[in-house]
Amino acid sequence: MNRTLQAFRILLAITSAIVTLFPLYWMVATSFKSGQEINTYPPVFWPASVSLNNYGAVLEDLPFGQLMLNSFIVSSVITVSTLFASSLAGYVFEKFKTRLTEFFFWVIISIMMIPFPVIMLPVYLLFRDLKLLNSLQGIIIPGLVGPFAIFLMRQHMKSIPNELLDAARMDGASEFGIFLRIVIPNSIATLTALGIFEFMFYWEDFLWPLLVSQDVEYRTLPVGLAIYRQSYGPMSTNLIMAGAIIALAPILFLFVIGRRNFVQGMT
Amino acid sequence: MQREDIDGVSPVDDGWHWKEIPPFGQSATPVICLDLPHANSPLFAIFWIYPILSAFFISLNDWGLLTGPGSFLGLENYRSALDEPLFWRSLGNTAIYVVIFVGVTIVTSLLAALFVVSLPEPWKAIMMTIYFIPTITSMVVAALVFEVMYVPSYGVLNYLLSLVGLNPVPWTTSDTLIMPSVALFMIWKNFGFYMVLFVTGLYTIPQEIIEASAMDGANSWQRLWHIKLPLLRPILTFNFVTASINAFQVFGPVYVLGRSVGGRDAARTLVLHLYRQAFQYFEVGQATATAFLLFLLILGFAIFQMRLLREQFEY
Repeated sequence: MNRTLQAFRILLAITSAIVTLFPLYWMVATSFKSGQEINTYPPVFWPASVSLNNYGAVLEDLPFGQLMLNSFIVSSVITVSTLFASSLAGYVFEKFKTRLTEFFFWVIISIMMIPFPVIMLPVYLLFRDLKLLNSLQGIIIPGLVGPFAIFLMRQHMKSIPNELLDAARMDGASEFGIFLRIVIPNSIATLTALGIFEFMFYWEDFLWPLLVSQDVEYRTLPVGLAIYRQSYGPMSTNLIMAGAIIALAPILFLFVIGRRNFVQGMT
Repeated sequence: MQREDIDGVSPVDDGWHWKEIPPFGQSATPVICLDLPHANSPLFAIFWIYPILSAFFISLNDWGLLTGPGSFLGLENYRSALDEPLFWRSLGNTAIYVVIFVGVTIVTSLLAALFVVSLPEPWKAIMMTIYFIPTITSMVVAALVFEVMYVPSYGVLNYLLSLVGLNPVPWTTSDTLIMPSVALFMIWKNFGFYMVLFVTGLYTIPQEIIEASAMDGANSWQRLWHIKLPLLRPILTFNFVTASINAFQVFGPVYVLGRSVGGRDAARTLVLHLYRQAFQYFEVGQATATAFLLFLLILGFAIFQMRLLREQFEY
Protein backbone atom coordinates (compact mmCIF):
# COMPACT_ATOMS: atom_id res chain seq x y z
CA MET A 1 0.00 0.00 0.00
CA ASN A 2 2.68 2.45 1.03
CA ARG A 3 4.79 1.46 -1.94
CA THR A 4 1.98 2.07 -4.42
CA LEU A 5 1.36 5.44 -2.81
CA GLN A 6 5.02 6.25 -3.14
CA ALA A 7 5.09 5.19 -6.79
CA PHE A 8 1.95 7.25 -7.43
CA ARG A 9 3.60 10.31 -5.89
CA ILE A 10 6.72 9.95 -8.00
CA LEU A 11 4.57 9.52 -11.08
CA LEU A 12 2.59 12.63 -10.20
CA ALA A 13 5.83 14.53 -9.62
CA ILE A 14 7.20 13.56 -13.02
CA THR A 15 3.96 14.31 -14.86
CA SER A 16 3.55 17.71 -13.23
CA ALA A 17 7.19 18.52 -13.91
CA ILE A 18 6.70 17.73 -17.61
CA VAL A 19 3.58 19.91 -17.79
CA THR A 20 5.31 22.77 -15.97
CA LEU A 21 8.45 22.68 -18.05
CA PHE A 22 6.81 21.99 -21.41
CA PRO A 23 6.48 25.66 -22.50
CA LEU A 24 10.19 26.14 -21.83
CA TYR A 25 11.02 23.01 -23.80
CA TRP A 26 8.86 24.32 -26.62
CA MET A 27 10.71 27.60 -26.56
CA VAL A 28 14.07 25.86 -26.89
CA ALA A 29 12.86 23.44 -29.58
CA THR A 30 11.24 26.20 -31.64
CA SER A 31 14.31 28.38 -31.44
CA PHE A 32 16.29 25.68 -33.30
CA LYS A 33 13.69 25.08 -36.01
CA SER A 34 14.06 26.09 -39.60
CA GLY A 35 11.54 28.35 -41.34
CA GLN A 36 9.67 25.37 -42.83
CA GLU A 37 9.34 23.56 -39.53
CA ILE A 38 7.56 26.22 -37.51
CA ASN A 39 4.14 26.21 -39.16
CA THR A 40 3.71 22.53 -40.04
CA TYR A 41 1.01 20.24 -38.73
CA PRO A 42 1.53 18.02 -36.82
CA PRO A 43 4.06 20.25 -35.10
CA VAL A 44 7.71 19.29 -35.10
CA PHE A 45 8.74 18.33 -31.58
CA TRP A 46 12.44 18.40 -32.26
CA PRO A 47 14.01 19.99 -35.33
CA ALA A 48 15.66 17.72 -37.90
CA SER A 49 18.89 19.60 -37.56
CA VAL A 50 19.85 21.77 -34.62
CA SER A 51 21.32 25.01 -35.85
CA LEU A 52 22.10 28.31 -34.24
CA ASN A 53 21.08 30.23 -37.38
CA ASN A 54 18.05 31.79 -35.70
CA TYR A 55 20.18 33.17 -32.92
CA GLY A 56 22.46 34.83 -35.41
CA ALA A 57 19.50 36.14 -37.39
CA VAL A 58 17.67 37.63 -34.43
CA LEU A 59 20.85 39.25 -33.19
CA GLU A 60 21.24 40.88 -36.57
CA ASP A 61 17.59 41.77 -37.07
CA LEU A 62 16.82 43.36 -33.76
CA PRO A 63 19.31 45.74 -32.28
CA PHE A 64 19.60 43.02 -29.71
CA GLY A 65 22.80 44.19 -28.15
CA GLN A 66 21.20 47.58 -27.61
CA LEU A 67 18.04 46.12 -26.05
CA MET A 68 20.07 43.84 -23.83
CA LEU A 69 22.35 46.67 -22.76
CA ASN A 70 19.35 48.90 -22.01
CA SER A 71 17.67 46.24 -19.92
CA PHE A 72 20.91 45.59 -18.14
CA ILE A 73 21.53 49.28 -17.40
CA VAL A 74 17.96 49.83 -16.22
CA SER A 75 17.88 46.78 -13.97
CA SER A 76 21.32 47.21 -12.44
CA VAL A 77 21.12 50.95 -11.82
CA ILE A 78 17.75 50.47 -10.15
CA THR A 79 19.00 47.51 -8.13
CA VAL A 80 22.13 49.25 -6.86
CA SER A 81 20.29 52.44 -6.03
CA THR A 82 17.46 50.59 -4.31
CA LEU A 83 19.84 48.55 -2.21
CA PHE A 84 21.75 51.61 -1.08
CA ALA A 85 18.77 53.87 -0.42
CA SER A 86 16.54 51.29 1.18
CA SER A 87 19.17 49.90 3.52
CA LEU A 88 20.00 53.41 4.68
CA ALA A 89 16.34 54.39 4.99
CA GLY A 90 15.38 51.14 6.67
CA TYR A 91 18.22 51.54 9.16
CA VAL A 92 17.23 55.09 10.07
CA PHE A 93 13.53 54.28 10.26
CA GLU A 94 14.19 51.40 12.64
CA LYS A 95 17.07 52.61 14.80
CA PHE A 96 16.46 56.38 15.02
CA LYS A 97 12.76 56.53 15.64
CA THR A 98 11.21 59.91 16.22
CA ARG A 99 7.67 61.07 15.63
CA LEU A 100 8.84 62.58 12.37
CA THR A 101 10.51 59.45 11.01
CA GLU A 102 7.53 57.35 12.01
CA PHE A 103 5.35 59.82 10.16
CA PHE A 104 7.44 59.54 7.01
CA PHE A 105 7.46 55.80 7.28
CA TRP A 106 3.69 55.76 7.24
CA VAL A 107 3.68 58.01 4.22
CA ILE A 108 5.93 55.54 2.42
CA ILE A 109 3.86 52.54 3.45
CA SER A 110 0.75 54.32 2.24
CA ILE A 111 2.30 54.75 -1.19
CA MET A 112 2.80 50.99 -1.33
CA MET A 113 -0.97 50.49 -1.37
CA ILE A 114 -1.59 52.45 -4.52
CA PRO A 115 -1.76 50.52 -7.75
CA PHE A 116 0.66 51.67 -10.42
CA PRO A 117 -1.99 52.56 -13.05
CA VAL A 118 -3.27 55.32 -10.76
CA ILE A 119 0.00 57.23 -10.59
CA MET A 120 1.18 56.21 -14.06
CA LEU A 121 -0.41 59.06 -15.99
CA PRO A 122 0.54 61.92 -13.63
CA VAL A 123 4.14 60.67 -13.65
CA TYR A 124 4.03 60.39 -17.43
CA LEU A 125 2.86 64.00 -17.77
CA LEU A 126 5.49 65.16 -15.30
CA PHE A 127 8.23 63.36 -17.19
CA ARG A 128 7.07 64.83 -20.46
CA ASP A 129 7.41 68.30 -19.00
CA LEU A 130 10.85 67.40 -17.68
CA LYS A 131 11.84 66.06 -21.14
CA LEU A 132 12.55 62.65 -19.64
CA LEU A 133 10.39 60.66 -22.03
CA ASN A 134 12.16 58.53 -24.59
CA SER A 135 15.29 58.16 -22.50
CA LEU A 136 16.74 55.54 -20.21
CA GLN A 137 16.64 58.01 -17.33
CA GLY A 138 12.88 58.17 -17.76
CA ILE A 139 12.59 54.41 -17.36
CA ILE A 140 14.99 54.30 -14.43
CA ILE A 141 13.99 57.22 -12.21
CA PRO A 142 10.61 55.99 -10.93
CA GLY A 143 12.26 52.75 -9.85
CA LEU A 144 15.26 54.22 -8.04
CA VAL A 145 13.78 53.61 -4.65
CA GLY A 146 10.62 51.76 -3.82
CA PRO A 147 8.43 51.62 -0.74
CA PHE A 148 8.49 47.83 -0.69
CA ALA A 149 12.31 47.76 -0.46
CA ILE A 150 12.34 50.30 2.37
CA PHE A 151 9.71 48.33 4.21
CA LEU A 152 11.63 45.08 3.78
CA MET A 153 14.89 46.61 4.98
CA ARG A 154 13.23 48.16 8.00
CA GLN A 155 11.83 44.77 8.97
CA HIS A 156 15.31 43.33 8.57
CA MET A 157 16.93 46.02 10.75
CA LYS A 158 14.83 44.80 13.68
CA SER A 159 17.08 41.71 13.74
CA ILE A 160 20.23 43.76 14.38
CA PRO A 161 20.63 44.19 18.16
CA ASN A 162 20.96 47.72 19.51
CA GLU A 163 23.67 46.54 21.90
CA LEU A 164 25.92 45.85 18.93
CA LEU A 165 25.50 49.40 17.66
CA ASP A 166 26.00 50.88 21.13
CA ALA A 167 29.19 48.89 21.60
CA ALA A 168 30.56 50.30 18.36
CA ARG A 169 29.59 53.82 19.47
CA MET A 170 31.47 53.28 22.75
CA ASP A 171 34.50 52.28 20.70
CA GLY A 172 34.28 55.61 18.93
CA ALA A 173 32.96 54.54 15.54
CA SER A 174 31.24 57.24 13.51
CA GLU A 175 27.56 56.80 12.68
CA PHE A 176 28.24 56.23 9.02
CA GLY A 177 31.11 53.90 9.94
CA ILE A 178 28.68 51.86 12.03
CA PHE A 179 26.32 51.65 9.09
CA LEU A 180 29.07 50.61 6.67
CA ARG A 181 31.07 48.24 8.87
CA ILE A 182 28.43 46.71 11.13
CA VAL A 183 24.96 47.08 9.66
CA ILE A 184 25.79 46.27 6.03
CA PRO A 185 27.87 43.13 6.73
CA ASN A 186 24.99 41.89 8.88
CA SER A 187 22.49 42.47 6.09
CA ILE A 188 24.13 40.61 3.22
CA ALA A 189 21.55 37.82 3.02
CA THR A 190 18.58 40.18 2.93
CA LEU A 191 20.33 42.53 0.52
CA THR A 192 21.11 39.66 -1.85
CA ALA A 193 17.52 38.49 -1.83
CA LEU A 194 16.20 42.01 -2.34
CA GLY A 195 18.76 42.66 -5.06
CA ILE A 196 17.80 39.57 -7.05
CA PHE A 197 14.14 40.38 -6.63
CA GLU A 198 14.57 43.97 -7.82
CA PHE A 199 16.73 42.98 -10.76
CA MET A 200 14.24 40.38 -11.89
CA PHE A 201 11.29 42.70 -11.42
CA TYR A 202 12.75 45.46 -13.58
CA TRP A 203 14.15 43.01 -16.11
CA GLU A 204 10.60 41.96 -16.92
CA ASP A 205 8.80 45.24 -16.22
CA PHE A 206 6.66 46.09 -19.21
CA LEU A 207 4.04 48.80 -18.85
CA TRP A 208 6.22 51.73 -17.79
CA PRO A 209 9.08 51.11 -20.27
CA LEU A 210 6.44 50.73 -22.98
CA LEU A 211 5.04 54.16 -22.17
CA VAL A 212 8.40 55.88 -21.91
CA SER A 213 10.35 54.47 -24.85
CA GLN A 214 9.17 55.46 -28.28
CA ASP A 215 12.42 54.88 -30.14
CA VAL A 216 14.06 51.52 -30.41
CA GLU A 217 17.33 52.68 -28.89
CA TYR A 218 15.61 53.34 -25.57
CA ARG A 219 13.57 50.15 -25.40
CA THR A 220 14.15 47.37 -22.93
CA LEU A 221 14.11 43.72 -23.93
CA PRO A 222 10.46 42.89 -23.15
CA VAL A 223 9.23 45.97 -25.02
CA GLY A 224 11.58 45.34 -27.93
CA LEU A 225 10.50 41.70 -28.23
CA ALA A 226 6.78 42.48 -28.01
CA ILE A 227 7.03 45.16 -30.69
CA TYR A 228 9.25 42.99 -32.90
CA ARG A 229 6.61 40.26 -32.67
CA GLN A 230 3.91 42.74 -33.59
CA SER A 231 5.65 43.88 -36.74
CA TYR A 232 6.82 40.51 -38.07
CA GLY A 233 3.88 38.18 -37.41
CA PRO A 234 3.84 34.38 -37.26
CA MET A 235 6.59 33.82 -39.82
CA SER A 236 9.24 34.83 -37.31
CA THR A 237 8.25 32.44 -34.50
CA ASN A 238 11.60 30.66 -34.45
CA LEU A 239 13.47 33.95 -34.36
CA ILE A 240 11.27 35.26 -31.57
CA MET A 241 11.92 32.14 -29.52
CA ALA A 242 15.66 32.50 -30.03
CA GLY A 243 15.36 36.09 -28.82
CA ALA A 244 13.24 34.95 -25.88
CA ILE A 245 15.92 32.51 -24.78
CA ILE A 246 18.59 35.18 -25.00
CA ALA A 247 16.35 37.45 -22.90
CA LEU A 248 15.76 34.70 -20.36
CA ALA A 249 19.37 33.62 -19.98
CA PRO A 250 20.55 36.29 -17.49
CA ILE A 251 17.60 35.66 -15.19
CA LEU A 252 18.06 31.89 -15.30
CA PHE A 253 21.72 32.40 -14.56
CA LEU A 254 20.84 34.62 -11.60
CA PHE A 255 18.36 32.03 -10.39
CA VAL A 256 20.89 29.23 -10.55
CA ILE A 257 23.55 31.09 -8.58
CA GLY A 258 21.19 32.53 -6.01
CA ARG A 259 18.45 29.93 -5.71
CA ARG A 260 18.45 29.77 -1.93
CA ASN A 261 18.38 33.53 -1.45
CA PHE A 262 15.85 33.83 -4.19
CA VAL A 263 13.15 31.70 -2.63
CA GLN A 264 13.91 33.26 0.73
CA GLY A 265 13.58 36.71 -0.76
CA MET A 266 10.24 35.95 -2.28
CA THR A 267 8.73 34.80 0.98
CA MET B 1 -21.80 35.83 11.24
CA GLN B 2 -20.46 38.19 13.78
CA ARG B 3 -20.30 41.91 13.37
CA GLU B 4 -16.80 43.28 13.18
CA ASP B 5 -15.45 46.76 13.06
CA ILE B 6 -13.43 47.89 10.10
CA ASP B 7 -10.40 48.62 12.22
CA GLY B 8 -9.92 44.95 12.89
CA VAL B 9 -11.11 44.76 16.47
CA SER B 10 -13.30 41.76 16.77
CA PRO B 11 -15.86 41.80 19.59
CA VAL B 12 -14.95 38.21 20.47
CA ASP B 13 -11.22 37.96 20.84
CA ASP B 14 -10.50 34.50 19.55
CA GLY B 15 -6.77 34.94 19.81
CA TRP B 16 -6.37 34.80 16.06
CA HIS B 17 -5.90 38.41 15.22
CA TRP B 18 -3.92 39.01 12.12
CA LYS B 19 -1.73 41.28 14.18
CA GLU B 20 -0.48 38.17 15.90
CA ILE B 21 0.62 36.12 12.97
CA PRO B 22 3.73 34.21 13.90
CA PRO B 23 6.61 35.56 11.84
CA PHE B 24 7.65 33.40 8.95
CA GLY B 25 10.62 33.69 6.67
CA GLN B 26 12.39 36.97 6.62
CA SER B 27 9.77 39.34 5.53
CA ALA B 28 6.71 40.55 7.26
CA THR B 29 5.01 41.64 4.08
CA PRO B 30 1.89 39.62 4.81
CA VAL B 31 1.56 41.36 8.13
CA ILE B 32 1.42 44.78 6.63
CA CYS B 33 -0.93 43.74 3.90
CA LEU B 34 -3.22 42.03 6.33
CA ASP B 35 -2.98 45.12 8.42
CA LEU B 36 -4.62 47.15 5.70
CA PRO B 37 -8.04 47.45 7.35
CA HIS B 38 -6.29 48.13 10.62
CA ALA B 39 -5.92 51.68 9.39
CA ASN B 40 -7.60 53.18 12.38
CA SER B 41 -5.09 55.88 13.13
CA PRO B 42 -6.13 59.22 11.68
CA LEU B 43 -2.56 59.76 10.57
CA PHE B 44 -2.65 56.70 8.41
CA ALA B 45 -5.96 57.69 6.92
CA ILE B 46 -4.67 61.11 5.93
CA PHE B 47 -1.45 59.97 4.32
CA TRP B 48 -2.96 57.07 2.59
CA ILE B 49 -4.93 59.59 0.64
CA TYR B 50 -2.18 62.11 0.05
CA PRO B 51 -0.13 60.44 -2.74
CA ILE B 52 -3.16 59.98 -4.92
CA LEU B 53 -4.17 63.62 -4.68
CA SER B 54 -2.41 64.66 -7.85
CA ALA B 55 -4.00 61.82 -9.77
CA PHE B 56 -7.31 62.76 -8.23
CA PHE B 57 -6.88 66.38 -9.26
CA ILE B 58 -6.21 65.40 -12.87
CA SER B 59 -9.25 63.18 -12.85
CA LEU B 60 -11.43 66.17 -11.98
CA ASN B 61 -10.36 68.13 -15.04
CA ASP B 62 -10.78 67.96 -18.75
CA TRP B 63 -7.14 67.06 -19.27
CA GLY B 64 -5.80 66.32 -22.73
CA LEU B 65 -2.58 64.40 -23.26
CA LEU B 66 -1.28 67.03 -25.66
CA THR B 67 -3.35 70.05 -24.66
CA GLY B 68 -2.88 69.86 -20.89
CA PRO B 69 -5.43 70.97 -18.32
CA GLY B 70 -8.67 72.35 -19.68
CA SER B 71 -11.76 73.25 -17.76
CA PHE B 72 -12.61 71.95 -14.31
CA LEU B 73 -15.24 69.27 -14.61
CA GLY B 74 -15.79 67.99 -11.10
CA LEU B 75 -16.95 64.43 -11.20
CA GLU B 76 -17.95 64.63 -14.84
CA ASN B 77 -15.02 62.39 -15.90
CA TYR B 78 -16.21 59.68 -13.56
CA ARG B 79 -19.72 59.88 -14.91
CA SER B 80 -18.58 59.68 -18.51
CA ALA B 81 -16.11 56.90 -17.66
CA LEU B 82 -18.96 54.92 -16.17
CA ASP B 83 -21.26 55.79 -19.07
CA GLU B 84 -18.92 54.29 -21.60
CA PRO B 85 -19.97 50.78 -22.67
CA LEU B 86 -16.31 49.91 -23.16
CA PHE B 87 -15.68 50.48 -19.47
CA TRP B 88 -18.21 47.79 -18.61
CA ARG B 89 -16.84 45.51 -21.30
CA SER B 90 -13.34 45.94 -19.82
CA LEU B 91 -14.66 45.43 -16.31
CA GLY B 92 -16.36 42.23 -17.43
CA ASN B 93 -13.21 40.92 -19.09
CA THR B 94 -11.15 41.84 -16.05
CA ALA B 95 -13.66 40.13 -13.76
CA ILE B 96 -13.56 36.90 -15.78
CA TYR B 97 -9.79 36.99 -15.60
CA VAL B 98 -9.70 37.74 -11.86
CA VAL B 99 -12.11 34.97 -10.97
CA ILE B 100 -10.36 32.30 -13.04
CA PHE B 101 -6.84 33.40 -12.23
CA VAL B 102 -7.30 33.86 -8.50
CA GLY B 103 -9.46 30.78 -7.97
CA VAL B 104 -7.36 28.33 -9.95
CA THR B 105 -4.03 29.77 -8.84
CA ILE B 106 -4.87 29.50 -5.14
CA VAL B 107 -6.17 25.94 -5.44
CA THR B 108 -3.28 24.81 -7.66
CA SER B 109 -0.60 26.40 -5.54
CA LEU B 110 -2.09 25.04 -2.31
CA LEU B 111 -2.25 21.53 -3.79
CA ALA B 112 1.28 21.88 -5.12
CA ALA B 113 2.50 23.02 -1.69
CA LEU B 114 0.81 20.13 0.10
CA PHE B 115 2.23 17.75 -2.48
CA VAL B 116 5.75 19.14 -2.31
CA VAL B 117 5.82 19.06 1.48
CA SER B 118 4.75 15.41 1.51
CA LEU B 119 7.63 14.35 -0.74
CA PRO B 120 10.87 12.78 0.55
CA GLU B 121 13.95 14.99 0.53
CA PRO B 122 15.70 15.00 -2.82
CA TRP B 123 12.34 15.17 -4.60
CA LYS B 124 11.08 17.98 -2.41
CA ALA B 125 13.84 20.40 -3.41
CA ILE B 126 13.74 19.35 -7.05
CA MET B 127 9.99 19.75 -7.39
CA MET B 128 9.97 23.10 -5.61
CA THR B 129 12.60 24.40 -8.01
CA ILE B 130 10.72 23.08 -11.05
CA TYR B 131 7.41 24.60 -9.95
CA PHE B 132 9.18 27.87 -9.28
CA ILE B 133 10.88 28.18 -12.67
CA PRO B 134 7.83 29.64 -14.51
CA THR B 135 7.77 32.46 -11.95
CA ILE B 136 11.22 33.64 -12.95
CA THR B 137 10.61 33.56 -16.70
CA SER B 138 9.90 37.08 -17.78
CA MET B 139 6.28 37.79 -18.59
CA VAL B 140 6.57 38.98 -22.19
CA VAL B 141 8.94 36.14 -23.08
CA ALA B 142 6.65 33.50 -21.61
CA ALA B 143 3.58 35.11 -23.21
CA LEU B 144 5.27 34.87 -26.61
CA VAL B 145 5.79 31.13 -26.09
CA PHE B 146 2.17 30.65 -25.11
CA GLU B 147 1.09 32.65 -28.13
CA VAL B 148 2.95 30.16 -30.30
CA MET B 149 1.53 27.15 -28.47
CA TYR B 150 -2.02 28.56 -28.55
CA VAL B 151 -2.17 28.98 -32.35
CA PRO B 152 -5.44 27.19 -33.22
CA SER B 153 -4.52 25.75 -36.64
CA TYR B 154 -1.06 24.30 -36.08
CA GLY B 155 -0.30 25.06 -32.42
CA VAL B 156 1.09 22.32 -30.26
CA LEU B 157 -1.67 22.49 -27.62
CA ASN B 158 -4.39 21.64 -30.11
CA TYR B 159 -2.19 18.90 -31.53
CA LEU B 160 -1.84 17.37 -28.05
CA LEU B 161 -5.61 17.65 -27.57
CA SER B 162 -6.17 15.87 -30.88
CA LEU B 163 -3.94 13.03 -29.68
CA VAL B 164 -6.40 12.33 -26.87
CA GLY B 165 -9.32 12.71 -29.25
CA LEU B 166 -10.46 16.22 -28.34
CA ASN B 167 -11.55 18.93 -30.75
CA PRO B 168 -9.25 21.87 -31.37
CA VAL B 169 -9.84 24.86 -29.10
CA PRO B 170 -9.71 28.41 -30.54
CA TRP B 171 -7.57 29.61 -27.62
CA THR B 172 -6.63 33.14 -28.56
CA THR B 173 -8.90 33.73 -31.54
CA SER B 174 -12.24 33.32 -29.81
CA ASP B 175 -13.85 36.26 -28.07
CA THR B 176 -15.07 34.10 -25.20
CA LEU B 177 -11.91 32.08 -24.69
CA ILE B 178 -9.30 34.81 -24.85
CA MET B 179 -9.56 35.84 -21.20
CA PRO B 180 -9.53 32.23 -19.91
CA SER B 181 -6.51 31.56 -22.14
CA VAL B 182 -4.70 34.57 -20.74
CA ALA B 183 -5.62 33.40 -17.24
CA LEU B 184 -4.32 29.90 -17.98
CA PHE B 185 -1.00 31.38 -19.04
CA MET B 186 -0.74 33.52 -15.93
CA ILE B 187 -1.71 30.60 -13.69
CA TRP B 188 1.16 28.62 -15.18
CA LYS B 189 3.48 31.54 -14.64
CA ASN B 190 2.50 32.37 -11.06
CA PHE B 191 1.37 29.27 -9.18
CA GLY B 192 4.95 28.55 -8.10
CA PHE B 193 5.22 31.89 -6.36
CA TYR B 194 2.12 31.32 -4.25
CA MET B 195 3.18 27.71 -3.67
CA VAL B 196 6.41 28.89 -2.03
CA LEU B 197 4.40 31.08 0.33
CA PHE B 198 2.11 28.17 1.21
CA VAL B 199 5.11 25.92 1.81
CA THR B 200 6.61 28.45 4.22
CA GLY B 201 3.26 28.60 5.96
CA LEU B 202 3.00 24.82 6.21
CA TYR B 203 6.43 24.69 7.83
CA THR B 204 5.32 27.04 10.58
CA ILE B 205 2.59 24.62 11.68
CA PRO B 206 3.92 22.87 14.78
CA GLN B 207 4.41 19.17 14.10
CA GLU B 208 2.94 18.33 17.52
CA ILE B 209 -0.46 19.59 16.49
CA ILE B 210 -0.50 17.35 13.43
CA GLU B 211 0.68 14.36 15.46
CA ALA B 212 -1.81 15.01 18.23
CA SER B 213 -4.68 15.11 15.75
CA ALA B 214 -3.47 11.92 14.10
CA MET B 215 -3.45 10.32 17.52
CA ASP B 216 -7.03 11.46 18.05
CA GLY B 217 -7.93 9.59 14.89
CA ALA B 218 -8.27 12.43 12.40
CA ASN B 219 -7.78 11.27 8.85
CA SER B 220 -5.68 13.28 6.42
CA TRP B 221 -8.70 15.05 4.93
CA GLN B 222 -9.88 16.14 8.39
CA ARG B 223 -6.37 17.26 9.26
CA LEU B 224 -6.25 19.38 6.14
CA TRP B 225 -9.68 20.92 6.56
CA HIS B 226 -9.79 21.43 10.33
CA ILE B 227 -6.17 22.04 11.24
CA LYS B 228 -3.90 22.98 8.37
CA LEU B 229 -6.26 25.32 6.52
CA PRO B 230 -7.28 27.32 9.61
CA LEU B 231 -3.62 27.65 10.57
CA LEU B 232 -2.76 28.71 7.04
CA ARG B 233 -5.45 31.35 7.13
CA PRO B 234 -3.09 34.36 7.31
CA ILE B 235 -1.16 33.17 4.28
CA LEU B 236 -4.30 32.11 2.49
CA THR B 237 -5.64 35.60 3.00
CA PHE B 238 -2.39 37.15 1.88
CA ASN B 239 -2.28 35.01 -1.27
CA PHE B 240 -5.89 35.73 -2.10
CA VAL B 241 -5.46 39.47 -1.66
CA THR B 242 -2.11 39.71 -3.49
CA ALA B 243 -3.31 37.56 -6.36
CA SER B 244 -6.46 39.65 -6.81
CA ILE B 245 -4.64 42.97 -6.54
CA ASN B 246 -2.27 41.84 -9.28
CA ALA B 247 -5.01 40.26 -11.36
CA PHE B 248 -7.11 43.42 -11.46
CA GLN B 249 -4.15 45.26 -12.98
CA VAL B 250 -3.50 42.76 -15.76
CA PHE B 251 -2.00 44.46 -18.80
CA GLY B 252 1.10 42.83 -20.31
CA PRO B 253 -0.39 39.39 -20.99
CA VAL B 254 -3.45 40.80 -22.76
CA TYR B 255 -1.25 43.22 -24.67
CA VAL B 256 0.76 40.30 -26.06
CA LEU B 257 -1.82 37.50 -26.28
CA GLY B 258 -4.84 39.59 -27.18
CA ARG B 259 -3.60 40.57 -30.60
CA SER B 260 -4.95 37.68 -32.62
CA VAL B 261 -8.44 37.78 -31.12
CA GLY B 262 -11.25 38.59 -33.55
CA GLY B 263 -13.27 41.10 -31.56
CA ARG B 264 -10.96 43.98 -30.85
CA ASP B 265 -12.33 44.58 -27.38
CA ALA B 266 -12.57 40.96 -26.29
CA ALA B 267 -9.21 41.22 -24.55
CA ARG B 268 -9.67 44.76 -23.28
CA THR B 269 -9.03 44.91 -19.56
CA LEU B 270 -9.39 47.94 -17.33
CA VAL B 271 -5.72 48.91 -17.51
CA LEU B 272 -5.67 48.38 -21.27
CA HIS B 273 -8.82 50.48 -21.45
CA LEU B 274 -7.27 53.39 -19.59
CA TYR B 275 -4.04 52.97 -21.54
CA ARG B 276 -5.99 53.43 -24.77
CA GLN B 277 -8.04 56.28 -23.34
CA ALA B 278 -4.83 58.11 -22.56
CA PHE B 279 -2.65 57.24 -25.54
CA GLN B 280 -5.13 56.79 -28.37
CA TYR B 281 -7.82 59.27 -27.43
CA PHE B 282 -5.55 61.54 -25.40
CA GLU B 283 -8.13 61.83 -22.62
CA VAL B 284 -5.88 61.78 -19.60
CA GLY B 285 -8.52 63.16 -17.26
CA GLN B 286 -10.92 60.40 -18.07
CA ALA B 287 -8.19 57.75 -18.05
CA THR B 288 -7.14 58.84 -14.57
CA ALA B 289 -10.74 58.72 -13.46
CA THR B 290 -10.85 55.14 -14.74
CA ALA B 291 -7.62 54.36 -12.88
CA PHE B 292 -9.20 55.76 -9.78
CA LEU B 293 -12.29 53.63 -10.20
CA LEU B 294 -9.97 50.64 -10.60
CA PHE B 295 -8.22 51.58 -7.37
CA LEU B 296 -11.51 51.79 -5.48
CA LEU B 297 -12.54 48.46 -6.95
CA ILE B 298 -9.28 46.81 -5.86
CA LEU B 299 -9.48 48.36 -2.41
CA GLY B 300 -13.07 47.33 -1.88
CA PHE B 301 -12.40 43.83 -3.12
CA ALA B 302 -9.33 43.44 -0.90
CA ILE B 303 -11.17 44.57 2.22
CA PHE B 304 -14.11 42.35 1.35
CA GLN B 305 -11.82 39.34 0.92
CA MET B 306 -10.01 39.97 4.17
CA ARG B 307 -13.21 40.21 6.15
CA LEU B 308 -14.66 37.17 4.47
CA LEU B 309 -11.57 35.06 5.04
CA ARG B 310 -11.36 36.12 8.64
CA GLU B 311 -14.81 34.88 9.34
CA GLN B 312 -14.48 31.73 7.31
CA PHE B 313 -12.37 29.61 9.59
CA GLU B 314 -13.41 30.90 12.99
CA TYR B 315 -13.01 28.15 15.54
